[in-house]
Amino acid sequence: MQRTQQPIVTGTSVLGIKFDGGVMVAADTLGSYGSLARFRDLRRVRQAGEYTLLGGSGDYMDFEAMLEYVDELLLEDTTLDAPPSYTPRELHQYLARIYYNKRSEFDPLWNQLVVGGVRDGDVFLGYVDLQGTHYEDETVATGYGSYIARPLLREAYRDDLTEAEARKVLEDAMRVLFYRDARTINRIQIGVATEAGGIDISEPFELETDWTVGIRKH
Amino acid sequence: MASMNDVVQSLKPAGGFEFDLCARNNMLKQMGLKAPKATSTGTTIVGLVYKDGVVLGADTRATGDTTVEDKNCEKIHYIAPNVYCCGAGTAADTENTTALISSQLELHRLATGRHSRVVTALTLLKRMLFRYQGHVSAALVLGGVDLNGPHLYTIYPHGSTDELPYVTMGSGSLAAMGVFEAGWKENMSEDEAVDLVAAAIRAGIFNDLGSGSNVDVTIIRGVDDVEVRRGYQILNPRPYARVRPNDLTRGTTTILSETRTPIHAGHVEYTNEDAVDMETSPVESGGPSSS
Amino acid sequence: MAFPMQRELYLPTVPTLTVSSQMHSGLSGPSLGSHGPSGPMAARLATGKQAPVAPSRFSAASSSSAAVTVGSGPKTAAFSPYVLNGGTALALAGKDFCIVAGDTRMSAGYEIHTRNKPKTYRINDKCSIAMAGMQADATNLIKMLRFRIAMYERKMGKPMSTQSLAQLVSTTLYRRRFFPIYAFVVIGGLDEDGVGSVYGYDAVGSFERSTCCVQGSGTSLLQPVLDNQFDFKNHSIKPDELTLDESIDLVKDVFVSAGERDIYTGDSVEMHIITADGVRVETFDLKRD
Repeated sequence: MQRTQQPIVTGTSVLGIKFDGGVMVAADTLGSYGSLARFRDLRRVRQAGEYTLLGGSGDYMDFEAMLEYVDELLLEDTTLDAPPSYTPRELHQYLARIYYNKRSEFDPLWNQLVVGGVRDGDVFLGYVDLQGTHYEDETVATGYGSYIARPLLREAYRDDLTEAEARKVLEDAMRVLFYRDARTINRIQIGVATEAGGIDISEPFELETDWTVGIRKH
Repeated sequence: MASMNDVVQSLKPAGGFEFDLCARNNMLKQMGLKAPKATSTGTTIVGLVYKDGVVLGADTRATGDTTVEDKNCEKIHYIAPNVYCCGAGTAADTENTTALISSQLELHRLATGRHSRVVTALTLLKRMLFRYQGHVSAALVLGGVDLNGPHLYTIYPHGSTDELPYVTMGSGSLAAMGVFEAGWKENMSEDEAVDLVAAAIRAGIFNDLGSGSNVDVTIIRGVDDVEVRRGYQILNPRPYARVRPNDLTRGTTTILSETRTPIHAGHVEYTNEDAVDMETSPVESGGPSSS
Repeated sequence: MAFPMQRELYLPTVPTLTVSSQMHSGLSGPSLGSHGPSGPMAARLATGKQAPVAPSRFSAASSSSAAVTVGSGPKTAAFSPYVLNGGTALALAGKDFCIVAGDTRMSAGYEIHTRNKPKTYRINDKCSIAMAGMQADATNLIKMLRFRIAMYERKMGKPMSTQSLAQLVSTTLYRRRFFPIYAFVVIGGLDEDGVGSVYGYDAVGSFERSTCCVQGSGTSLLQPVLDNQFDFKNHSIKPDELTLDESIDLVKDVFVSAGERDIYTGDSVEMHIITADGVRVETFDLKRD
């Protein structure tokens, strides 16, 4: 079997931030083939089970393979008539185990994941990567986002951040990434998870940009 | 036959770098020698053009691999009374390169009787860096004000340059640029500019492990109108000091043997035998009296 | 299984303790305690032959997950199963107490992943483990240990002693001699006489009991200080042993010092204080830069 030794079609940064009562995850819809902007409508913010948002960067095929692993788990759960779907915290742990085991077989799933969701008042936001590294935090970012956007998210984060404020923070951060990360597209999705509203992933929309900013005038 | 003077002349260092040992060092490297690593300034440095001038900013951490070598180093270097330059990369390279160009500009000012222009500094710096093909690892943010107004440039180690209204360099450049892209406006006031520069440096200090400690800021409004605000924000004081004192009483280290060597000063030998007790009792009579 | 044979070909470059006289000879000897898992393994696995050393993922520039590309088409970014997540862990043993502590910063390259990921794990009322190195390996190791400790307790009907745990950790690490678990373990607890005991390990299970042991990125800074100020090594006049409070004071001071000089140590420290009364957890803040 051919193992993934390098990513092929890739998605760039995913950003996540907690707010008062929920979490929000953002990613653009570009699938890059090396430096070629190959696919313009790849959905990299997905729902898993009833309570969890999954955002993935890195290899897109591996991301979809991961979603199948999760579906298998959830299906098994359903057929066994088990109690309701897994919590975001449980899925995060499950994914960390999958990614760690795959790396230990030298057959990595080449992704960095953002896992977010709310269950029973527990607002969760976490990270998993191709080596099995995992953690939870108030803000999470992958790819170039972890260098360029995460400082902005950390600065903006408060316990009492509202949903509208969180949305503005993520949109601004995605705009900055669009200016500075060459593997981005100006077309993003934002997924929101709250206790009351469940999971809501927006259709892709365009961010307004201004390329006259920061350009020499003479 | 070579005269004494020839020998002395041959020993005198010529100008510029010395490359004599490069062949030997390459051979040693192939044999597996690990070359000593220079101190690099992991660094966040930034520059910003505002309404009336230029603001430069820098963190103050210098690292050697994963160790902090200097917790409060100065990365904003003087170039001319109206020009300053932030340096990232190998500390020795940024310090010496800026000092060298600073000195050349001073001579140029004395020869011409005119203030330095920022482009002149830029040209001298990029020529020097290009000549050494990136081996002089200095990544610079050059800013200043001259008769043509404020100027801000970045210079890369290979000698390429760029002119922009806001720039960042160093390992924290991505964190700092995030802040600039989110917060920059045209025609900012000085206060706004200094605040944004400090925020960009703080993003580097707290998010990039190569950067740390304090924020230094230099504001250049014009010739001889410069404010060097070293330690503009002191952000990282030591959070705890040990209560119990270190136990290092006299005798902690055993003295195994003791040798005393007399000090030679010219032809006179001072030894213990020669020592004469100092007169410490009060003088009873004779000598000058003040009464 | 298609690959175990080739996996065993891999010679680890993780730092291990060496006890031999042929260690350093001239310029080309093996480097003891060299840091960072450079990975010839991925390429070697693919070809089964000697491979050039792959670029370490432990550098800020290369750790973006997207393929590094030059010209057209994706270019190989060799996979390394190892990452160093930095940080410092230590344990001190007194006459009737033990302190196990670790900072909570988790990083990779020049990036801080999170400021709040403790390296300390409570095992039972008598002992805790702390681990530095690679977080994913460390987490996996603690899961394996917890499982085997639970099995032991079911079977034996009593909690595992610190000494037994020490041997279990060694066996668990050595089992992976040819695909090492990149975790640097230190155990602190009370032994069967209620005396503080510390066990320190290398990545493949070599271990030793001592009274103080530092692991991780702050080792070279802190171990000599603790040797001098806790064990009073090389002191001709030995002061009284440190009390529990004085030891806590010392732990705080050395972590703060490591935070000043080691870029991977910072944010905060979680400290397990183990006495006859059980395990008490305390935290304190470090610098966040």
